[in-house]
Amino acid sequence: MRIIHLDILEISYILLYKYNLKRVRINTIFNSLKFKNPSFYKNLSFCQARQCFIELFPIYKNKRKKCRYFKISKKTYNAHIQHHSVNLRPQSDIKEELYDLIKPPRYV
Amino acid sequence: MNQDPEKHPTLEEYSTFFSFSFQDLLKLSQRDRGIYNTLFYNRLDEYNKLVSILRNAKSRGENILITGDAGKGKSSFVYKLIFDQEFLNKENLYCVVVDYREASNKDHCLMKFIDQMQKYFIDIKSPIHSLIENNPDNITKNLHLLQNYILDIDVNLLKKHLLIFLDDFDYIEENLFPFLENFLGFASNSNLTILLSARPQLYTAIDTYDNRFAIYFTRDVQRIKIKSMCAYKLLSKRLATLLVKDESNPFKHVADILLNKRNPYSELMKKYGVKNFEELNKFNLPLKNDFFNFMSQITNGNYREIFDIAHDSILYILDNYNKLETIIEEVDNVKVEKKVLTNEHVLELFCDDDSKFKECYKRVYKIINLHEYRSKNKNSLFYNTLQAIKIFEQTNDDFYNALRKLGHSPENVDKAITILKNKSHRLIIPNKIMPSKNLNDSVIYNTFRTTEKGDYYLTNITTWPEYIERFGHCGRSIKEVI
Repeated sequence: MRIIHLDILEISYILLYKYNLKRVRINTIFNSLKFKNPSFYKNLSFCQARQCFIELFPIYKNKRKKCRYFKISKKTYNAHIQHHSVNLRPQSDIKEELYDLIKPPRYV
Repeated sequence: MNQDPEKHPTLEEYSTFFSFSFQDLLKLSQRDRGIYNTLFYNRLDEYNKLVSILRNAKSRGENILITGDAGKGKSSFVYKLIFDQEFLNKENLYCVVVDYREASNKDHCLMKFIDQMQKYFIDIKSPIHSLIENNPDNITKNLHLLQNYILDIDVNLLKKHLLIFLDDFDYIEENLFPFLENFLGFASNSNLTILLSARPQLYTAIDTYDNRFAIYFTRDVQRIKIKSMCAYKLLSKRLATLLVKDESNPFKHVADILLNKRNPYSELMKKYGVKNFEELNKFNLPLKNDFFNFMSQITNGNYREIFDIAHDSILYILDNYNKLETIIEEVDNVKVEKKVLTNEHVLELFCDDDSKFKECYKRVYKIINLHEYRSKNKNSLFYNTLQAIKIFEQTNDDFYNALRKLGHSPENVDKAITILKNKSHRLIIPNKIMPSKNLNDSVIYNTFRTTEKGDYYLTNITTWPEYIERFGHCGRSIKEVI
């Protein structure tokens, strides 16, 4: 599991558990990644972010070419955490700015 | 120090002298960089490794982790590099130091860092204009702007490779990782190098906290481990330097006063024809290897603490030289008289007594004697207070009531807590029974326990029943009255 996967998992965690969302646009993921660590994701393309996201949530609908809203699920998220024995920081340590950024426009 | 030639130096003046010589190296070198170069001892292997890593830092962009226990000299080691201007200029390196202990709080620390980064950009003649006013509200924005600026700037304009030294982060007790996250963006940048100094506890904490922190700070990094050194040699280096009769010696004026006067220290040196401290070793004076190894053991190899103890030890030996036990040993078929510091002396060194020695200055180290300060019912105040701290975890009414039942007044308990929380009171040992001849050294080693803070005294004593068996009971336990 690469660093980008860990970052996407963390963003998914906020969406799933904080905002109770089950669908997300890649643009949200892309912007959050760029905000979280601009130096590391300097050369990150939209396509790469989409590809990494699909690797984590390989649902049939997500793989489709014209998919706009990508599905995320708590089950897949938890499976990743357990299977790869990933250590992610507790929710309380995540910066508030990241929450604000991830929050979809209709919630503002 | 009094420089009047006719006045005889007192023990107070010795105290000042030795405390000066055993001060923190970085504090001493703030006045004069020459002192640092003179007193810094060894660490050649580690330094060569650091230098070779930094030579390749530009191309690799790897971070560096320096690990070592408390007081091992991690900061001093890195400052050797920072003070080495010749090397920094040669390799085009620029150091930015983020020292948590020097700042008053986290915001102040980050604001200082932002200021230093601005200076760096001015130094490489690419000043950053996009930063907003440097105040606590704008810290996050400014840090993001800085990260983006380093990213967007042309690599050729970064004439000096940036080295960010994160020091003393072990002292952050709360919210360490949100603070460390501010540097995560820099750590992932290959245009600069982060140099983090961490104790094993911090290293483990980072490693188990979050995989991303671990990758940037502890796993995919070049690691340098600060090894232990012989405490005796380290101290010898400090004192030997003081005694060198050389114009370049920064302590010359202090050494002159000590050596040219008629005083116990100079008499001791003249008696044996010793020119410097290192030579004392061959006469097997009390200040020999074993003694300092013993000191290392009781302080867990913390050189900062050893220096404190050495200060006390030397003064004690000077003061009680005639009282020390003499033994005769054969060295190369020649009988040699040796002064020996027995276990009793070691204890006396740390325990309170009414000797002249005690009046002269305030001792840095003190042993908490559990058999001291008993109530009318002969219950030990320190023992019961420590138990209560462990059980109640806070000083509430129940805490005081339980101790009152054992005969301890709240005022005495408060005094005991103040003493126990004092960081210089680290060792627990009773001073009533210590027959040196019948006792193995191992017993002392097992009985001494080093502690970090007052609250942890009891938890650190693993062999508590054994302790009571050997040194007698400290009265009733608090468990009987709860």
